[in-house]
Amino acid sequence: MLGRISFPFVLLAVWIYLVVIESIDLPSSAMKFPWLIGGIGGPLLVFQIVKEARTPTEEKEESRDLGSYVVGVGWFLAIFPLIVFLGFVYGLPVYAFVALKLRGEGWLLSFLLAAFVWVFVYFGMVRALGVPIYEGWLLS
Amino acid sequence: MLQEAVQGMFAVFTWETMPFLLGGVTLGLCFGLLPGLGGLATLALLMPIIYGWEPAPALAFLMGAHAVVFTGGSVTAVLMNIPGTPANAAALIDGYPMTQKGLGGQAVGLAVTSSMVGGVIGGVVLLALVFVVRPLVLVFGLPEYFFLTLLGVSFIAVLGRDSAVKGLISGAVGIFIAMVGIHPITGIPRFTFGSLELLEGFGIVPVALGLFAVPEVLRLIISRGAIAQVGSEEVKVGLKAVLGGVRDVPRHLRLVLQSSAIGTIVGIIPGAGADTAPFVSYGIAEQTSKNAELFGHGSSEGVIAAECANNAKEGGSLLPTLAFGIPGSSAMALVLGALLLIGLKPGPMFLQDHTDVAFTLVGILIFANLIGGVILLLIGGHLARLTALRGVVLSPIVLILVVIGAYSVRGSLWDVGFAVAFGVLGWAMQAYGYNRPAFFLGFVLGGMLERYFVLSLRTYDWVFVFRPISLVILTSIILVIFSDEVRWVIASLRRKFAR
Repeated sequence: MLGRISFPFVLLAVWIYLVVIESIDLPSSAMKFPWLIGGIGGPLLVFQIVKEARTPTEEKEESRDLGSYVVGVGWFLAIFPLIVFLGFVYGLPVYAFVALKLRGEGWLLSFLLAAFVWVFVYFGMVRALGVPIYEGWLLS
Repeated sequence: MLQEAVQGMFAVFTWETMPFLLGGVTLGLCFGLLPGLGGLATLALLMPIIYGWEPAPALAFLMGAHAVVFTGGSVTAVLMNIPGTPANAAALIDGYPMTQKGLGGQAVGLAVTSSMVGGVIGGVVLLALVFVVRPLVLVFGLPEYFFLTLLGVSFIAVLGRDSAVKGLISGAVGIFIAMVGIHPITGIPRFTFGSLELLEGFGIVPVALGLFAVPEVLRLIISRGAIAQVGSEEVKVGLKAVLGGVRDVPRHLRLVLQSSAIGTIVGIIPGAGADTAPFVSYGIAEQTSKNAELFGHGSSEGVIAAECANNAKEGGSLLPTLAFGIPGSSAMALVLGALLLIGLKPGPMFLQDHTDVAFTLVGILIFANLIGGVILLLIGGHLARLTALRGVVLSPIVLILVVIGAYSVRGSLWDVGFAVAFGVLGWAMQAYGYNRPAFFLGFVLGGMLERYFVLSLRTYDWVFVFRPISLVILTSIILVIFSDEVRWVIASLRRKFAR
């Protein structure tokens, strides 16, 4: 119930800020379209919030395993500090290795996949395609 | 124009294009077999790769993959009761009972051949319709372009989803996100908050990856387990049995043509409802069959009906996408984004300015289906073992592809951050039932929509709303948005007159 209302509510807050406050100083030709779309989207969001608030909450909500959810999100976010500190060439293989090994895979598979990622990034992107790759805060 | 069509279609058979078509088909089959990744995530993951490529190889790679995703998904549907994509779910109603009876090989042959034939028929119909539709778009001016684009967003926002309001909100938010950056007419920065990184606006690739691939990665990480609960050792399919299924398809020629026609027509009707085509076709086949009692218990007709329509809808949905810039399905919203990424402007002038590309797309659709079908018939049973891949192994691979894809287009770490931010938004939208394809379509078409709006206003003032074709399209938009209310009014009137 709370999530169903809070999501359109957050959208509405951002919407009002952008349409009313941010658009106000724009010249008229740049302001017309945001106001047009804002004029359509704003009332729809208000309607949705009212509708969600009036819809009775289902008695039995599916119980969620919060622990596995937090761990999952943690694994997802862990890749970004690794990229920032070690860059793509080393950060991504390290992530692949750690993500596999610490989540129960064998040494061989973890190592092979990490090596494959390194080959893909270094030879595929840096050498073959010449993509200017981010080297990482610790290594640059 | 016929010569142009033949040249465009056979442009696929050049050294610059064919390797990319084969690569795309192979990847598409693999992604189709993996139920963890749907057709939308597949397109989103492959989009960054084609950035900066020439149109022919880029489209061969992307559309080659997209054309066979559903064919790949049919193999796991009939063998393991796991549809590779949601649209493959209709095939398992009869395909899996066939496997349980020991006719797995025949079921694979039937499903793959039907899917292949349906895809080819869809492509041929698309080719024929390009000739018919091309002159039509010439009658449109700027105001009509504006309303057509708006119609596209409305269609995908409203059709095929539970809540029309949520769809419209999603489309409106997408259009608003497209306004971030330098205003195309005045050159003034808008909604950039003084940030240099936002001056160019959000890139198509980070938004696509965030909305469609990141939520799948999160789901894979959290779910941990194997995608398929069936052991890979159980998948044994003999080539002889597969060929038995292949031979069965031409014996049901009328059903093949009927189901392909249904798939193509449902695909042409714009909106996100194209995934219903296999179910519509299955239902009609059951009603018209002499062996209706076999449906649901391993009927070969059921598999043919579902899979022919499933792939034929792709040719159909490409028509409104190319001719009017109105996507025929959710996946086509991503295809529109991909066209922009390689420098092609989708919309009513596409068929005039890029006729060769349109015909090449038809060729890609037809030949990708043929190549993909043959590959699957030969080694489909072995490829099905991919489903034994665990979420723990697959999730870091896909996440790494997302990060590399988001970064590689503009070489900016900010884009990786944007992909994450849109991933969170996409996950929330998925969780609360908002329409991600409508958001993406609004984002892709938002810039064009504003340009047509401002130019129409400058040229015609507000009178542009009252031009005849504009009024017709505007009425269609209102009817689409309020379709439930219109149905309710018609039903009330009928009841009143009946009394």
